[in-house]
Amino acid sequence: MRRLHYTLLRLVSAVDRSVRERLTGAGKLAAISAFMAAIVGLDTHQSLASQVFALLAAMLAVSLLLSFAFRARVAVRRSLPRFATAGEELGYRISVSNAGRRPLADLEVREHFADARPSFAEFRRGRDPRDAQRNWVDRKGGYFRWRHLIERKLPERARGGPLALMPAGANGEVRASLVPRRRGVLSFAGIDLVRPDVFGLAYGRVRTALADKLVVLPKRYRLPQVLLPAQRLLQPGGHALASSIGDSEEFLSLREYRPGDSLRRVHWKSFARTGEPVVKEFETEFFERHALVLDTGAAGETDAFEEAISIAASFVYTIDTQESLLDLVFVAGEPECHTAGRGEASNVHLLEILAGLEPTQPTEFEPLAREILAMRGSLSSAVFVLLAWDAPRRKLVADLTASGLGVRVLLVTESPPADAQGVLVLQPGHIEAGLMKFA
Amino acid sequence: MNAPAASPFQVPPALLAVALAFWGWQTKNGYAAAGLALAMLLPALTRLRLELSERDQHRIADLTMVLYVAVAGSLIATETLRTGVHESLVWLPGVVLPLMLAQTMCVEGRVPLTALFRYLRKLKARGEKVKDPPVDLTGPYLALVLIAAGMANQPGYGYFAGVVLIVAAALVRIRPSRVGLAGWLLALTVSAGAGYGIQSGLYTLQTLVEDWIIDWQLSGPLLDPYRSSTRIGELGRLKSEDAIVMRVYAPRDEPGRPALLHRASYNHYAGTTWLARQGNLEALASRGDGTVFLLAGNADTPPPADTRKIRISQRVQGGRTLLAMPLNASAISDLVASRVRSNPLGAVQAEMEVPWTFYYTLYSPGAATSPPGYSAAGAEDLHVPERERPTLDSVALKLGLAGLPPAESVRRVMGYLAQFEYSTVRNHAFSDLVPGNETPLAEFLNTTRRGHCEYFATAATLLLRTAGIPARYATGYAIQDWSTWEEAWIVRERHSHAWARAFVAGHWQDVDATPPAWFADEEALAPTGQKLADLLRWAGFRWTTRDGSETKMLAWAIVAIAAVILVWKLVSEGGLVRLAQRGGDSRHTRPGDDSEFYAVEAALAKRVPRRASEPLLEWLPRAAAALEAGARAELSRLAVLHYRYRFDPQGLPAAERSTLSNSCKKILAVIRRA
Repeated sequence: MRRLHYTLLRLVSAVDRSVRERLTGAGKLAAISAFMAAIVGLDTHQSLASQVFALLAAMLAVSLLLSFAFRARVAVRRSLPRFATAGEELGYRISVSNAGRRPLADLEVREHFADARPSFAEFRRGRDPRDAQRNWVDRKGGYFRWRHLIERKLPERARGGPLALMPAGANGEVRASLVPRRRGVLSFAGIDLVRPDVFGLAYGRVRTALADKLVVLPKRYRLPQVLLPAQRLLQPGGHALASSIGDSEEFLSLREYRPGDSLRRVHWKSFARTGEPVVKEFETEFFERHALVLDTGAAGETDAFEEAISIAASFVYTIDTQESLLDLVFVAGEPECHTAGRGEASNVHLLEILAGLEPTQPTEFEPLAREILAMRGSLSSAVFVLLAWDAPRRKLVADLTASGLGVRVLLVTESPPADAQGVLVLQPGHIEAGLMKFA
Repeated sequence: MNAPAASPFQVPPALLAVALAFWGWQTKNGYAAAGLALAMLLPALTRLRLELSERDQHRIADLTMVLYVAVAGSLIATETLRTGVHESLVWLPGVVLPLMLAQTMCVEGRVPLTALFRYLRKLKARGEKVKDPPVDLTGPYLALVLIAAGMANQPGYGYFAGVVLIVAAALVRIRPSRVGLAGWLLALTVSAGAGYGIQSGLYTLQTLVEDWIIDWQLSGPLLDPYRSSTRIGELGRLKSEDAIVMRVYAPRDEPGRPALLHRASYNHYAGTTWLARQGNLEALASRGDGTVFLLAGNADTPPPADTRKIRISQRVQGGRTLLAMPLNASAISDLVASRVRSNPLGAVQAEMEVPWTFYYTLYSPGAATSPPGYSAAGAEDLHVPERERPTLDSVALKLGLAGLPPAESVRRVMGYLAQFEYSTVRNHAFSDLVPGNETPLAEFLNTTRRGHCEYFATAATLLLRTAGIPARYATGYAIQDWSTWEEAWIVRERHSHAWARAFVAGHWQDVDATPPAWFADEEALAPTGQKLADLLRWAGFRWTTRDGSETKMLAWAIVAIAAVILVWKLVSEGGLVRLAQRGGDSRHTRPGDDSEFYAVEAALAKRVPRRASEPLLEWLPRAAAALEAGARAELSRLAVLHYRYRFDPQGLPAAERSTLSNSCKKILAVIRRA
């Protein structure tokens, strides 16, 4: 029965895609009108509405027949950037050359994305993030789950564009754009060159296979100025010192005071001049190291989980990794720690990792806690992005705070707990406003 | 002018006005169509615009829905469900008008998608990401107007021709630039021809299917004046329908009230079907004010002295019904019908477009001669099928019918069949011949001795014929159920009945051989809660048959109240704004809006589309690359002039304005030639 349900959804989805791709706006209107006319004009002895159906059906049939006759020899090339960001418009170019002998007119270029329909296993495993809010019919019908699983692989919007009249041998270019819906990888299958038929009801199509992939980085939020404790600690083990700021006696530069800076480093003359505390920086292997701990324990790709990743991405993007190290710690089967900064890797590397992150079981927090405690000695501060505020999480935060580590906790949840003292609680849908309170 | 390939489909107001005029022509609602067309042209005629918020447009859409429900509800109340729904579809262009005006008369010129779907609104309110683009309703409205016009069902080719022309006018605007007009017209002609073929085929197919169904299902013994396929030998649980089909307004205790109301008689039995030989329906002329019909055929014949009058209301299905009348009915009065026909076997068929018909029937219970409207006995009334004859002969022999006076023969046949049992439970599957190579009638008489009224009526008719008495098989209703609150006899579908009519002593008389217990048996099948259902049926009947003008007034009152609420809501919330007072609509008063250069730009854009962010002066050389050098230079000069006309606070001197206009026209011709 489940297999039949899945097959039915798959079939409906294919028909829907085909209709969307084949019919123009006017064609879709004609098809819907023909359907409505057929319904109300079912009794041909009582009304003439069936004649509207007959005419539109004939026109659509002629349109489709003529559209299938469209042929063109073209060479197509897509110039994609390396990354895109979820929710942000990405512009790129598509070049087309007319390799045929006839001119091509009324053409439009469109992206053709890889089949996004989930496999049976994916469909069974998949969850609609808003399942709890659905009614019984919607839940059992599985339509919203199906739609969610498809949409997560497709951009929110993809625009091609019209091509100018292309004589034989001519080249044309279209500035295409798309808005990725979510982080991950966007798979392109090819490029469609479409042309409306004689009535403008159906598109004739020439499809060129042109597979490509685009990494979509997580959505990011604006953060207020992030002032993490600047306590420098000895970082044994040979971190590359490609950059230059540390605590040696060799003076390097001045910078503004941050909590945790030693008073001995205050540059009193500059303080007097500017009225703001300014400290001296020296070169050494003592430097700052911050941990960004991401809680991946969630029951599926919930809104809270996605928002937590976006928040983590925002920190990765904002924290200066030129002069400090940033450890991104999370669980993916087992605890993982990826470090960026000071020549180790760039923060883009961390963003790429975040782009592909999957949720884990909410109970898998213990290994993560052990990993953090093991790293404690080398950390200047830690930022926690949590999805729950249960006993193990509270204990870890309390232990780290007691050890003197500067700890900031952000909790992403739909239902804020009562005992969240010192925790910045963020609700999905209101993250940006909530983050403004981060200090 | 052709639109670029990707241009959206939009119907101009003038074409919508034409479509509405077409609707008015088809539905014979000229004044309403004129009003609707005027409303469509309103944006061009007035500067008045509505500043509607998304919420306002949601409300207007909801009100439109309420309006439709009100209109459909009042039409259903006035007519039948089917006719009411049908009529409400005819009026859809008027009902949807507020929503259309919300688009055409509002500043945005579009309606949000969520206005049309409450479910999307719900999802949006829940915080889900819902696509809510502003949508253009002109295309759907055009389709709706054309479909609504078709619901009027006007004969002739006018409708199809009109639809083709209007659809063509809508689509010619999006004709791709590469397609010539001749090719486009050819494709249109082919499509129209194919469309005509499809619709003709559909019509023929439906006719064939209906004919087949009628042939297959003409078992309704009480509907067809020509044929009555009995359910002799067929399944049981017959006549279980509880619906009321007739009300007979006769006093409860009146002596001599008719117990049977006749609808049709049949004179030839073949297989298990009774047929009306020489039973063709002929038109019955009306008398007086057109509501009196004499079955006797002669207005000058004085009615018998004991003529009585009985009032009947009868349900009409499919626009026609066989009127039920007592024995010896001579006339019908107060009958409003478009056509009345009768046959020599006493069937009277009336055609009308109302769910219930009322009439009086005049009859003479004690008439010594049958009225001329019911044909005299003939040879056909003595015909006995050969395959039934052995059984019938043996029964006649057993009853000693040979040589008996007709009245005694009738009494004996009645007495014989009274020993049988009434039952609607089947004995075996349908077949003309039952196991043992016995006909169903023979099986009834010889073996089972149980059956429903059709068995008894058929057996009685054929036994009387065997005894030499002319007899016919009659169908109609039995009147036995008195309703206290209606103060009338109510007749349900399951009270349909069959009996014999025998020609005895020079006149016809009803011979009902079915055991009287049949009615009690049928009543036992009545569902629980029948009383409550009857009360509701009575309320529905009273509502349906009330004066139509009252209902129409109610419908108009609902429409007026809805309109007042809508206008009040809009005005009270400051949605109605006279833009002229606010400095005018910028779309209409922008300087240089009438520059002829826009036409030049559009013509070039068809060949080389301009990108969204591409400045005009940057795009122009690219777009004009295929033109001659002189034309290119002229274009650059005109573009500068156009810019000055648009942006120079001083505007253009008259001479330069004239140059811009004339040169644009010339260069446009050059572009089109190229």
